[in-house]
Amino acid sequence: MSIILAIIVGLAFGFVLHRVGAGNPQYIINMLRLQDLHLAKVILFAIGTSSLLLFILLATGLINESHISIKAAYTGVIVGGLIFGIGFAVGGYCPGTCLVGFGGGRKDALYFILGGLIGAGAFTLMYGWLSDVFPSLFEKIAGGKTTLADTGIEKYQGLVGGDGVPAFVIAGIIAIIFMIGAWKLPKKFNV
Amino acid sequence: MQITWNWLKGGAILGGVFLLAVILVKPLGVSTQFVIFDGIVANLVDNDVAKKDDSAKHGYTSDNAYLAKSGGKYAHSIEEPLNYGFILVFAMFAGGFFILLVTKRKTLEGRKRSACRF
Repeated sequence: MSIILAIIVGLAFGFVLHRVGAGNPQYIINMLRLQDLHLAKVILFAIGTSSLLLFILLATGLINESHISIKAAYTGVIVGGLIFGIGFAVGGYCPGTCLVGFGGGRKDALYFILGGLIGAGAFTLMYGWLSDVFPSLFEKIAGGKTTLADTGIEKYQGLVGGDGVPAFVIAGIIAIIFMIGAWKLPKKFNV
Repeated sequence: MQITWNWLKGGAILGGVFLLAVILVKPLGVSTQFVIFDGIVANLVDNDVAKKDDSAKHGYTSDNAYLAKSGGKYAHSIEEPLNYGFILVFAMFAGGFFILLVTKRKTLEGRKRSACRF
């Protein structure tokens, strides 16, 4: 069953990523140059709508809590984020969009995938050494698996709220800020 | 099919896919599969890269510290590549490929139509 779901969700995700332009590195590079914010608007609106609906589903108990999985925040994520950002700007792809770009017939995406495989392989080989020599890279931030608005799930802690303010109100405010950001951001800057 | 969706339509539908993934299975994630792919290839060359370990949470372990972490979660995915995360990656590729096919067909039809006019 999980394989069928992987096919359904993957097809939908790949199709939609391509339709919003994320499979085209020019959109990503122009976004990072602040010249064309189309993709930034798409991403902000997607995060806003999905997190708002997710917290409503959590509050009403209509979603299976075991499906929620929070990645741990640790110092190394900041270093990794910087490296990721450089790759994102230079290549114009991220690990998901390069697959979609390649599927959509772009040869440069294949080179990005090969680069990603080499980089991931190098990190896998270096991980043991990195964690021995730089243990501070693996120190958790704010408890690790923590969210801004409390999900209400015991194993994850929330940073804001809890004093009688329902989590979906906090998540809702954040989501609305994202959605307004998506709406108000200019599509193009004349730089 | 070549026109990109505008931010409102694209954002709403993309948000819908994010949510659908969580409702059906779990949040979307791709990047770990690069490590899994490397691990599967390495395991083909050296069959001991991922190995059974009943004491591990996921039933597998590895001599590599990264593949062994989280109770052998990655080692498990390497030994059993037909899992949700790995198939998702190929389905995403297929999603992009589907658009390529449809776009090509439309372009061909367009060419045929314009050819008929002459």
